[in-house]
Amino acid sequence: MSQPPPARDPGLQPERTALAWQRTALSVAMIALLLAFACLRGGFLVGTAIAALIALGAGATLFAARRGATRSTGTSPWTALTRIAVLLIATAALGAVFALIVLL
Amino acid sequence: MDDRSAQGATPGAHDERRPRSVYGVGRDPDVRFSLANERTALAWVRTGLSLVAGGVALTTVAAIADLPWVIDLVALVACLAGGALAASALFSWRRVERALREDRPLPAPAALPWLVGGVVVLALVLGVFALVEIAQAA
Repeated sequence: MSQPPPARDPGLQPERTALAWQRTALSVAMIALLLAFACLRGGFLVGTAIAALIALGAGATLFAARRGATRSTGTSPWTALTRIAVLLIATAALGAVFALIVLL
Repeated sequence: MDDRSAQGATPGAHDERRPRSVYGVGRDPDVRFSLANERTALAWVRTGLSLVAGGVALTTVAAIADLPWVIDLVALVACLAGGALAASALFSWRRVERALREDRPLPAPAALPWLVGGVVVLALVLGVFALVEIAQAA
C-alpha cells in the first residue's frame, strides 16, 4: 500500500492529470471567448463582459492549474474543481440567457 | 513527511485538505486512484463543456440564419444540461473519493444514464425537425 513518494509512476498519472487540467481550462476559456463574440454580435454587451471575465478566470486556472497534480501526495483538487465547475456553470447560464434573448 | 500515506493512518488534526467531508473519513488510497478520479471528473466537465459549446453554436447559427424557434429551444436545453453536468461532476468526484477512502465499492455513475437519454432525445428531436423541414419543402 505505502509506496515511497518519490517513486516515478510509469503510468505518468500526475502528468496526465495535469494535462487533463490544461485542456479542460483551455476549452472553458475558448468557449467563453466564443460566447463573448456571439453576445457582441447579438448586441448583448453585458454578456460579452461577463464572458470575457469567465475567459480570464479560466486562463488564471490554466496557469494555476493543479500544480498539485504533479506532486504525488497530499493535495486536494477540490478548490480547483469547484472553480472550474463554477466557471462552466456561469458559461452555461450565460449561454442560456443568450439563447432566451435570441428566442424572444 | 507525515504518515498520511502509511497504511491504517487515521486522518490527523494537521490534515488541512478540504472538503472535510471527504478528507475527514477513511485513509488515503493509492494516489493513482485519486488522480484517476480527478481526471474522470475533468472528463465529465469537458462533456458538459461540449454541450454548452453546441448550445452556443446552435444559438449563433439560429441568430444568423433565422432558424425556427425549435433550434433555439434545443440550444437553451443543451446549455442548461451542460451546466448541470459540471455540477454533477463535482459531486460525483466527492462521492467516489469518499468511497475510495473508505474502501467501499464505487458508486454507479449517476449522470451516465441521464446523458445517454438526453443525447437520444436530442437526436430524435433534431431528426423529427429535419423530417418536418423536408416535408414542408416538398
